[in-house]
Amino acid sequence: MVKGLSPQEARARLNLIGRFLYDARAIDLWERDTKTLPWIFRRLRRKYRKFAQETIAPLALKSDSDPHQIDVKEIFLKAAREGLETELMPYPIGTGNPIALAKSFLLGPILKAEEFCAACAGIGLALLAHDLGIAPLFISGDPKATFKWMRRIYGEILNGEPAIAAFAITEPEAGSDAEETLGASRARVGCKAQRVKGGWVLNGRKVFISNGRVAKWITLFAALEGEGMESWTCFLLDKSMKGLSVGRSERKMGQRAADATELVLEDVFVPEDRVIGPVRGGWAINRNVLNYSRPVVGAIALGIARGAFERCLEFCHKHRLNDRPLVSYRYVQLELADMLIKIQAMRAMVWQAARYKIPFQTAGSAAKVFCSDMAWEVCNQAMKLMEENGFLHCHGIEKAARDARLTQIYEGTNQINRLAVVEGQLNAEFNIPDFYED
Amino acid sequence: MNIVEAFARTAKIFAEKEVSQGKAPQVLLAKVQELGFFDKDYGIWSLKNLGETALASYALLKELAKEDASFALMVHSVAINNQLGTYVALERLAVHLNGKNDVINLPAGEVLTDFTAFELVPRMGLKRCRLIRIEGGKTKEKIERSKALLFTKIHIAGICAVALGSAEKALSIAKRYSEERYQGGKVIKEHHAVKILIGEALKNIRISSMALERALENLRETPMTDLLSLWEHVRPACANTVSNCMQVLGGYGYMEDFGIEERLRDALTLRGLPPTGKRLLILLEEEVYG
Repeated sequence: MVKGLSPQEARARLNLIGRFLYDARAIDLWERDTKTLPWIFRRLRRKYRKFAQETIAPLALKSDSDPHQIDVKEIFLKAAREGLETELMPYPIGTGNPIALAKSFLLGPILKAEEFCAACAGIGLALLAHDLGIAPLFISGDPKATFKWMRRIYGEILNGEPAIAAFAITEPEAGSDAEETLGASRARVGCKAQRVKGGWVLNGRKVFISNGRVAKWITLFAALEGEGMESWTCFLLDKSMKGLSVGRSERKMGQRAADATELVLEDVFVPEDRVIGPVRGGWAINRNVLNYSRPVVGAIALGIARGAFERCLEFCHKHRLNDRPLVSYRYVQLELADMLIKIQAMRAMVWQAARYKIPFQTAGSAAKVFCSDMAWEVCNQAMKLMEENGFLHCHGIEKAARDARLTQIYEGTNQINRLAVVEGQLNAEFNIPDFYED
Repeated sequence: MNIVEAFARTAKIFAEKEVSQGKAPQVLLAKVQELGFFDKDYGIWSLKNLGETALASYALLKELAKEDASFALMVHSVAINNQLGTYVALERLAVHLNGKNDVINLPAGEVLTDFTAFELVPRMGLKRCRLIRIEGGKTKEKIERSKALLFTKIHIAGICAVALGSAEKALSIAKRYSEERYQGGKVIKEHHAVKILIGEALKNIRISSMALERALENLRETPMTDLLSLWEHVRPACANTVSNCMQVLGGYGYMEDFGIEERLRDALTLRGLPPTGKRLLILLEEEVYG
């Protein structure tokens, strides 16, 4: 019926140059996008996908329905053996590719997050939160943190130890306040550090800490006694420290393979050399870690959406409605196209964030907000398209929706991140003189 | 006190005292029976005086859903069973207490028997009721088309009422939380971002309630296009409402403790009951053109 009219047939009538300029090849978008990357990232992307498909995907549904049956440390060690948990530093400290790190510090973690979370966002988060826990060590710019502590932690991992790290900022009375300027200025700080001979004594509680239960190392932020968040200081703790205990692990709606756990500090003595960066430098380190981590959260959301799309597409091919495959209905094609468009836009956004040599607040928050909102929409579209099959656990779509919902909350709610966009461009574009006078 | 207020008040007391305690559904259903809500002449969805009982049934289901959407859905299903003599399914999907008795498949109106019932488990939400998909089976008989359409409308209205009740409770939880939680040195209800989330949630609920109540005032005469439009509007609006409420609670909303995440799972499950999405819009368009 359409003989001679399809793009492929029409293209065939052109001469060599015309054909060269008219790309109508049947290549999936994953491959097309991969080909646009520098070769080192192409290789990395394929490596991440292979690991995700072989190791993470088979555990996805079980890790959601029965997270306690999943040994996160074992998965972590598998990833570590592939060099995937020591990538933030090159040899001799870690396994990161120096060319890749020099080209774009964020692109590697972004590619990893998409692939891991397309397979399972819960396991993906557990593996990625380790990088978040490590991030303050080099973002602080403190040579001791990098050459002493990072070397030690990565050394343990390379020796086969599950030396998982966690990043601890959220407190029971300070959730969003730990992630925004105005909130921080008025926050009720709960976690306090008091100077003593040879170091510091820490007291307080941290909540919702990803990997809090399984982590050995924790980068934790506390205010100095009698001061507010402007005095936040970053400390490197390890679980063997006396007075540091693990409280309750939350029962979450999604991303269930990664624990979100309370940490309780009761007179924890932290030696002086465990201070990361300068005393009172913690707030800056925290803010900058968020600049680096928010595009990765965007990539987590992107991965979740892509995973949902792929599973939905597979379902639409297999499932029949009135003796026709669902995918042959035009309304289904329209919906699938809309989902794919959103996923492409998400990827463009996070890859763009990775193109900046140094990540910054606006790019990170914008990518995080856009991608998490889009992921929620894509998962909801998939659920609606699949009708009652959409809410059945076996198809993995409802899990994706539950997983996606968290990306709108953590690393600062999307409302906080919108404010961060304004603040990020405050002096360059918005020019709002009373922004800090709420 | 009129019948609507009487139903709503009794249901509210019952829901708060009994349903919220998490008692077994069978025990609760027996109590609903004792309260007279399953009476054929004066109970839920009674056809005798549908104008009033429809609004009363809506109010009752909303109150029950505030505590437990699964149980409210069971009550709705049993009430229709009392009126028709069998359970009903919409597009072969039913809330069925035992999965064995005959089912009227709406809107076709076929009485199906000897079918295979697939329980839809494990699933996202509404975990305490038995949700089944009917496959195969024999058509024993057909009920009148007008009756089948009326019960399709009742079925749709009841499920929308359950979605609304659950969303209203989520909003009340979010409001209370926003009055107690401090961030940035003040209660969060004073932050514009929170005001917008709650305002939007309230708007969704008000529009849905007004439209549904209007449809219920004269359900027999309300066109099917109106009910299908409500089916497509109310459930996503309720899901969005609960999602907004979760956002107000932030990380706490995502955890099981505050009951918002369960309401969101329930709302998304209710929204997924077929027909839904673009297919529903096509059905709606076909209804418009006859």
